Amino acid sequence: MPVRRGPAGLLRQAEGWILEPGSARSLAALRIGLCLLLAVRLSRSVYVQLAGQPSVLFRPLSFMRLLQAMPSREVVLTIQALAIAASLMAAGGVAARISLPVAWLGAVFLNGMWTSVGQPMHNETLLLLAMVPLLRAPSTDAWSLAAVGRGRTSGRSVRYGWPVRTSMIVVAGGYFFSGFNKLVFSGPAWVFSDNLRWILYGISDQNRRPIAAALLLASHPLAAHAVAGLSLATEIGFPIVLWKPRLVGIFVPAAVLLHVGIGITMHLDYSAWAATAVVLFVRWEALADRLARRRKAGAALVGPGLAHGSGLP
Amino acid sequence: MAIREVAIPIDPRPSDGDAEPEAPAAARWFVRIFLSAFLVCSIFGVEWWPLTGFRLFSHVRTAHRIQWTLDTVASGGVESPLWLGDVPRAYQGFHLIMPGFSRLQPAVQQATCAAWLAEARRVRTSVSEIRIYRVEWQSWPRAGERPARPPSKKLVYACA
Repeated sequence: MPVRRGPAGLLRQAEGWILEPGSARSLAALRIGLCLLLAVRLSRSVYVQLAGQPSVLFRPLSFMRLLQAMPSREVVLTIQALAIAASLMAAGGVAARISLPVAWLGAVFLNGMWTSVGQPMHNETLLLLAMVPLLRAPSTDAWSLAAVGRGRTSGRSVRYGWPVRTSMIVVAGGYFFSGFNKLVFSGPAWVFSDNLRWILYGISDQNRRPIAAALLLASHPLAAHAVAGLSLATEIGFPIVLWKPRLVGIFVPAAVLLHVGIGITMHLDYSAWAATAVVLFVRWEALADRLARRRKAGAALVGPGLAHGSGLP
Repeated sequence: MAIREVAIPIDPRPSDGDAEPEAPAAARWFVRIFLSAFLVCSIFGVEWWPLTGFRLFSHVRTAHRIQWTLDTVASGGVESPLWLGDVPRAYQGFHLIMPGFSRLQPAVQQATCAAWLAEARRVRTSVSEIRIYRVEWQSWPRAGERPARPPSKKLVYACA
């Protein structure tokens, strides 16, 4: 195989990796996991809280600039109900060519409202971006009601590989660029100055009740530096899992821990990031196979015993 | 007589170990365009939301900070802070709007303040006025759970 050098060669190599064959079940696991997660996230009251906001407070970004104000409560509830129903249908693989885009568009609109109070909303961004490849993917060829109806499960194909790998790149990229921008705008001071301590003190002071976990960490400078360093290393290093899948066992739990820590110390909900990373990087197919083997082994042990009447007195 | 087994292909559709060699051109272009847009926004901080610049806590903070607070004044004259957690999400952009508040037209300033006042009256009864302060804090030194030095407050706007 000829060695391709330069950026063009690298891009071709990357594209070659993205377009490698993948399994229908991995893609189906992505559909089920992300759609269920979306249904849960859309079930919260935050969107109704935004409905009917006085138009003078409306600060739209992106496509939300097409609107003059937040939509009414009735409109929001209708879109919310529709998007949740569509997410659940898509998770089950029911009419996914329609239900998946409806769920995604509904979610983008509802979260677009959230991003229209004055700054870009990041809490749901990774989930929404990770779902984009699913919009064009044949994700119902396995683990879906449609596949049950057909009576067969498809195996491996290029068609199943690229959506999963594209979503992986987006999630790994989301973490990487979060860390990258910290280095660009702050440099090593993000870790080595008292930056994290001031963030924690600031958030606690803004709260009606001081946040004990934030104050505890902020009052221990060494621990604060260590947490800042580990957080940045997790973000910057996350894309390594694309080359070294074995490191998923380190980076995904680290990312989950990062978001749990943010939740406890800052009361900010980034759980959708953690859940998206888990859905995407856990090998659900291998887990399902292991469970099936265990069930088969159990049946082999129990089955003949019962059949021959030797297991029970 | 020797019998030779002959493999007959039954199902030409892809299965394990029989993958399609090429990706559809549409998928190829979809991936290229989507990832390019993702990279452009991530690198250059473009907010084509949901594509975003991923600037989360990217600037270094210091012990000195400026905040905006909103106090309600009861009919008896008692002043107390209105915490953002007490109002619905629609009103939680207060601290994002305030840095640019002085640049708004007077009529828009008045309408904005009136919207916050109406919500404050919904949350708390007998609110006669709201006062918006620019507050300078010094996170360090601490006295227990709060900054040791009281913040310096400057009244910026009030509406009744």
